[in-house]
Amino acid sequence: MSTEPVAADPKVAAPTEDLSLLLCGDPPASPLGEVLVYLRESIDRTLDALRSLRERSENDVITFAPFLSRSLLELAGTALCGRIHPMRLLAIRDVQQKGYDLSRRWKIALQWSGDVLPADESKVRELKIEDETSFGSLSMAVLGPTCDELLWRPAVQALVDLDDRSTRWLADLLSEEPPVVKFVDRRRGILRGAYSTFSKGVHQERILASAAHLDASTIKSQLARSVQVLAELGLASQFIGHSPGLISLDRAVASFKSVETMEILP
Amino acid sequence: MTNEFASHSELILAAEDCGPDQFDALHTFSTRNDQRILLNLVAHGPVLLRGGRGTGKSAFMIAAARRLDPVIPSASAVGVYMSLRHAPLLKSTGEAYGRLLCEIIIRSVRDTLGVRASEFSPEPTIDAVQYAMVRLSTALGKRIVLFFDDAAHLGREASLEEFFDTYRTISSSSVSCKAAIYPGVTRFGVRFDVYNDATVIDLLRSEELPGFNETFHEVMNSRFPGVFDPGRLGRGLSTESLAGILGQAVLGNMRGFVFAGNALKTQSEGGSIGFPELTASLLKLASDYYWPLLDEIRPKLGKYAPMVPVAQEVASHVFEEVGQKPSNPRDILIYRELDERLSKPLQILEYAGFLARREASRAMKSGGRGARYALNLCTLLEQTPGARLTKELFERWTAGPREEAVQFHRTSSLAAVTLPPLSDQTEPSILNESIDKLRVSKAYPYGLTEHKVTALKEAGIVTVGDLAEATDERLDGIPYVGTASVARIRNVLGQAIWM
Repeated sequence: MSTEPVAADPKVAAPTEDLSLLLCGDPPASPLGEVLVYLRESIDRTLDALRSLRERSENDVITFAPFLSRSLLELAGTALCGRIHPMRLLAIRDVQQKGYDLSRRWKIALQWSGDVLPADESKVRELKIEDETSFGSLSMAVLGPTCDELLWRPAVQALVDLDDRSTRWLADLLSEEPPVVKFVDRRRGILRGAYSTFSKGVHQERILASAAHLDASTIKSQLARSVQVLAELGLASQFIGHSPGLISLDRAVASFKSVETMEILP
Repeated sequence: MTNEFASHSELILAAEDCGPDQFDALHTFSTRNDQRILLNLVAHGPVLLRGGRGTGKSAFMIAAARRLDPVIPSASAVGVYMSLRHAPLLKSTGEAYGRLLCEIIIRSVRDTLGVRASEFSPEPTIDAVQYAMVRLSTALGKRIVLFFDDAAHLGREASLEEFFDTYRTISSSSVSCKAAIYPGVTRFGVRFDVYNDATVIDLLRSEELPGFNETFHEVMNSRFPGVFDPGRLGRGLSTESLAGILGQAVLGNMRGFVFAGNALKTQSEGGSIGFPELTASLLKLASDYYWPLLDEIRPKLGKYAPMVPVAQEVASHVFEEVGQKPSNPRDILIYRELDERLSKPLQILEYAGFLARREASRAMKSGGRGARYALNLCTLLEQTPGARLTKELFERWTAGPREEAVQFHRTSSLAAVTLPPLSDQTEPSILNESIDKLRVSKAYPYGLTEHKVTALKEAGIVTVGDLAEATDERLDGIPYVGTASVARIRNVLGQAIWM
């Protein structure tokens, strides 16, 4: 038997921690930090599971990838929510610590529609906080108009002034027009479409083996696009000053570049 | 540019003119980004592929279609590629345009699928075509991907609304549409939200991104096998750095790169290739290809034709000012308000390959923000003192850090550029021009000989529009016009009419 070390296959050994690092940051030693660590590990496990589908058949990709991809979106959304609205996750943590009956629905659980995306897309419009506006009437969705105006736009404004355009993702990001005002808008649309697409595979909605099915190319394309968007949001989140677990700019940019080279499901 | 370029026409094939057996040999997509683009094109979902002339939009669309049924019968989707280069489309709007577009779709689907689409014969209306496409998809058990090439360009905004209306209507859970558009297409109609209704992919090849030299090295080897042998290269040049500087000189444009390779091949005449030969090639490209290109595209731009002289003026200001800087910068920053005011001339320059937009918004020293553009090195070299690509300049442009961009702020020379009123022409004036316009020239290196022009006129084909509408059979029947001539005529016609 050869004692020579086996060279790592770069495709298998690709770093999984960069995307989760961007999304979850460097969790502080605190109750919230504990949650972010759990989310980071969950994201890493999900990415590993997606990678394991590389060697599987197309049918396996079609069967399992939508579930894993949707999980990835939900974990990422939860992480971003936790770093933008720590109280939201701390409340859930509090409830789950006291007992978590798996047999029933928990109203306090994070909702993709409502907590990550605005619940009613038709009501998404430019934020206008006026004298008569009550805080309770504002949507707190991570990718909703309130967070867009108050948090994401200043963050993206700082991001576009990065003096680094050395990768395609960075170049694409910086050549978008307009770069700041539409950043969240566009990404919300992409993630909404991806979540809906993956959900079709999760809920097994199809009852016909017809043409309108989720094939491997479509799943892979949606996944690749989703990973890019999540990385962009993760990078931008590092410019949200109050957000816990911020990492250094150099480390964030290096992680972003590393995610770009990841081939999860080629 | 003269017949020396025309004689290399086999190397300057547009992707859509490339036969299937040659396509794979001449077009490679080896980078990760290329593969991602192809994945987006074969997957379900609307895509707009955006890029200037010669950036490879058609190549990508055709390559994607070739990954689907019927080329790959086991593929989970059917790919139907169609070019919208039809003269009647240029002249029509509204319902007439919609009907013509539907007829093209129907014909393309039937041609692609043959007997499998024998029952596909809807009325040429959007609703009927949409319904029939869904039924066809169900019957085939596969989703359908429609690739619309040459869908939209600068001079034809009137038909864009109809096109995108059709694009949006036909898209369904089993049919997805992919369209190639040019930068500067901004009017999509009220029903189409470009960023929410489609994934926009920009075909950007930049020397600032990894893999640039390798990509063009690969293209150089496939397009010019054995021509640029390392033994011929002077000191300081390698085949990869040569490919890189040529690619950078033409802003990553594939068609421009092939022209550059041809120019260098001609300049070097089989001998050694050093900086003098490189210099001569780049300068020749500037004078014989790029500047004449602005005149070539003017009659295609419809109401924007009067913007071409403005584009020429802007280019003159920019290249003269930048060329004189001792640091040899390659980029400019244009103040946002100026950039918006001069958007159409800048889009024309971008289309023609004089500059490439690299960033939408960057802080300027003088305050405010502006867009960053990279400049074509051929036209830039013309303006550098001595107009010589020295070893030092070569190293600065290929290995040195990016120089600071020259900033055109609100009181710069560009601020004085005035815009003329737009023309009231709704269709490209090229269709009404005499076929004399298509004679061999710098603008039309594949142009018609005197003999051919006379023969066509005697047959009653007097304008470019007449020629565009003449069938191959009619042309073949004209004395002194044979099959090879018909192909050449279609070639020059394509160059003259389409963007």
